[in-house]
Amino acid sequence: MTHNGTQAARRIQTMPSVQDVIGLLKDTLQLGERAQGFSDNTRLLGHVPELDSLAVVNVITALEERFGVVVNDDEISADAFETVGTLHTFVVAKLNA
Amino acid sequence: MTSSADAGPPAGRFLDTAHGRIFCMHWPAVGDGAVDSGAGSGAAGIGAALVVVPPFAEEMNRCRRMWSLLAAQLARDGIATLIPDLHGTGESEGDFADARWESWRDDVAAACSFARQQGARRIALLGVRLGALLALDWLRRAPGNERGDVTQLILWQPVLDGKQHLNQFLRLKLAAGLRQTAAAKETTGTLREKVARGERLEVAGYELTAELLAAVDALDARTLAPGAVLRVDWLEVSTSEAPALLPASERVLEAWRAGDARPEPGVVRGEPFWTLQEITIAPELNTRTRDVAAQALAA
Repeated sequence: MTHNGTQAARRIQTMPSVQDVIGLLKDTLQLGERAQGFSDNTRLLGHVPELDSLAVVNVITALEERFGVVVNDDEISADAFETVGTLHTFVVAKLNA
Repeated sequence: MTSSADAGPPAGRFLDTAHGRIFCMHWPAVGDGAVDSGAGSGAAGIGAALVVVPPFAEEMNRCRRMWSLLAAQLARDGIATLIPDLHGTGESEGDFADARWESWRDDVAAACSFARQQGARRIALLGVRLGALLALDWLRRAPGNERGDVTQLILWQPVLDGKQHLNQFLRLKLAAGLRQTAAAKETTGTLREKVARGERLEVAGYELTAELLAAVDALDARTLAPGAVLRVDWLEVSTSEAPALLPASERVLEAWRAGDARPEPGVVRGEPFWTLQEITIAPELNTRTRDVAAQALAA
């Protein structure tokens, strides 16, 4: 549901790509060169050692600040952190909500 | 011979405030070290100081390296730097549970007052993250004689919404329960209720009181627009190939411009050092800060 053109334009402009999500993970978890091998199938929680519980919080904070979404506590689940793809889907769904 | 070209040395001081003594690190400008033996000699820098207004909780510790590097650079430009530890944090008196937003505002005033004692006639505030909102809030309330010589406000990656900032902080407490079922889960809401009931809540080693929580919750950058007389440099860092301000920041700036504020935004390449476990610096942010401070203060 688009309310006006400006809002629609802003949404298109700010809709993050999978690469944007990988970039955010690289910065937040300080993954360095390793992030180059990431794709949407890359498994996250339980597979990326940097992604401990505190890091999950930092990633959520980064998602909120960088992409301008607000994440509610009850939406934070291990499912969203399954893979790069699920995390990207989570952000896009938030922006479309 | 390097003595005359060396910055500093920095010295820690305790400043008296109504709620106890706070610790303040003072980096004099080059040639500024001997204020007592002749501040008017022309060697005392350019009569300008930068006062750092620190961010919340652990972010303060992650920023220390950046400030120290910046302060050393500014000293060589003739600008002194003051870095107070807010009440209940760092080396200052009081526990975090004693910290109140109001006393933190007093701390900003105390640091500015100390800068004047050291010969500063023009002051720039550097508000970092939540410190940006603290600086803005103080500026709105301070009497004219306390803020009249504050000619510039530099903001580093400002927090835009107090409640969202505290939600992010409270989540540190929730992180361990990520894999719990929804029914058993605590939320930032239930944690807030606990604090409101007077229960003790410690998050990552910081005891959060109902008073501080209520004060920070109420902060909204859109309603804290600075006045027109002040030069405002809003600086962010980005790791993107094409660095741009955060969308949420653009919205705050739009709201400010609808009034009489004319903030000057800037984005530089750099890592989000205030969030990172490993001490990280963003050299381009310091360079830009040094440039804008020199423009505003070297008058």
